[in-house]
Amino acid sequence: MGVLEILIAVFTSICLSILSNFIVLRRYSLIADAFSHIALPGIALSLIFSIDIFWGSLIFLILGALFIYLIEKKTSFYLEAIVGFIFLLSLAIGKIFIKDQELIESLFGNIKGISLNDFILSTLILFFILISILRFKKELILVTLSEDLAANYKIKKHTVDLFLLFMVALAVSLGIKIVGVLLVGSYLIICPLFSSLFAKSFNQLILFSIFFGFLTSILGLIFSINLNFEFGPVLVIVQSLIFLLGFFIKNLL
Amino acid sequence: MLLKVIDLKVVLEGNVILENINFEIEEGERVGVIGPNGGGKTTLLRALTFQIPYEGKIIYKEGIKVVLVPQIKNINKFFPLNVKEFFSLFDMNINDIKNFLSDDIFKKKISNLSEGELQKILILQSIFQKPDLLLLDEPTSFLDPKNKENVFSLLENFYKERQFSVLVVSHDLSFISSFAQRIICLNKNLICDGFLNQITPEVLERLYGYKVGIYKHKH
Repeated sequence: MGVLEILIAVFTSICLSILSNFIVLRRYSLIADAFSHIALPGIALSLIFSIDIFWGSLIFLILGALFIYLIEKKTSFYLEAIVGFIFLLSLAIGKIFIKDQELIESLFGNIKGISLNDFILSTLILFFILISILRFKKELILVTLSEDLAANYKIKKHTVDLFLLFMVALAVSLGIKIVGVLLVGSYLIICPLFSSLFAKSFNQLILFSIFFGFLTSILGLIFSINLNFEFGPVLVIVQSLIFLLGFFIKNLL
Repeated sequence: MLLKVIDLKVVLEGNVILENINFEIEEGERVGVIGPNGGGKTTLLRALTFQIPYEGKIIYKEGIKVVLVPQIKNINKFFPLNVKEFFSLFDMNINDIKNFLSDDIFKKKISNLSEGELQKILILQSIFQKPDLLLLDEPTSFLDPKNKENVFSLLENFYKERQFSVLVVSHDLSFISSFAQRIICLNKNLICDGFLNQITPEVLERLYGYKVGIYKHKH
């Protein structure tokens, strides 16, 4: 395990943990978790045409984001169920078209398989997401608080949501390589759960979630190297234990 | 003339919510909108802020600033945004608003505010955008008499300072009758439009479908 793996794990964790706060605020947690599975057919195609699975995942996730945007904007259909349906279909397509060993890697990640290319990508995506969040903080917060209030500033909920999902698509495509389709949700769900326990302001929420994502990634790497387990599952267990500890301290002490 | 609405019609998911709506608002005028639940009051405000599709015409005087103060309910409890951060979203200087609020409120989370506190903060935020037309959606609903009085005097004070126009939607007939100079009755169609003394019990009965009393605040 080299510096490259550590940096990529840290960069990816920062991307996902920042976005996770907005995902939870928009009440998108379950949608985002199921959303990541839309990458599976993309991964299958990438393997068939031997291109980097990042691109296959990204294309399908962006298509998925556009699909969610259209459903939300044009219909009053129950979004969770629609995304759940795509999730099932994607999983079925994945199982049929991806060979078993590669399917396991797609689902649970393989941090040992990453390259210098992945490092460059993760750096670019990290900067893009950081700049976007700083630039569009007001928009993201206002649509969450009240669409009517956002209307005073000509901010449209659906456009903001599409942009958010687009950023999630980028971050998830990175995350899939290291923790896999199934476990990338751990950053999206557990980071904001933890930080919301202690945050007294919005800025604290963001900072605590980054800190949590960063710390658990480092601990996850240390344990996975020393105990010779896969990084993804170790990460989820480390995050869960620290969250439960925080929950206990906050609520029961 | 600040705002002119001509033949406004709003259809949402196949239901006609508003139809044949015609009215004008002059500069500095304070207009109240009353009507039953589902009568289209909030829909009117959403159309006036171009959030929903509509037919007909909504014409504003050029270059004016319209600010909507919405009803905000069910704020996600997960949302830790505090009052200071809320104001800083709009580049507002905390020193300008300190006089209107207690010192301890700035560290409170928006989701933990009482309805009265939240309403006050929303009104302060909107006033500091320097609106030419302020659209208020039920500013006094869920408020106890003391908080109602607070919201009322807050609006009165700002109005004295800077004569902006106000369109206020409310169920609260006593609030409307003390704050507004003119009243529009809305129940899908425009049932009435006139000065306070023209809004007789008969007009109200026609609007709501049953007898309603109207009581005026004493100031």
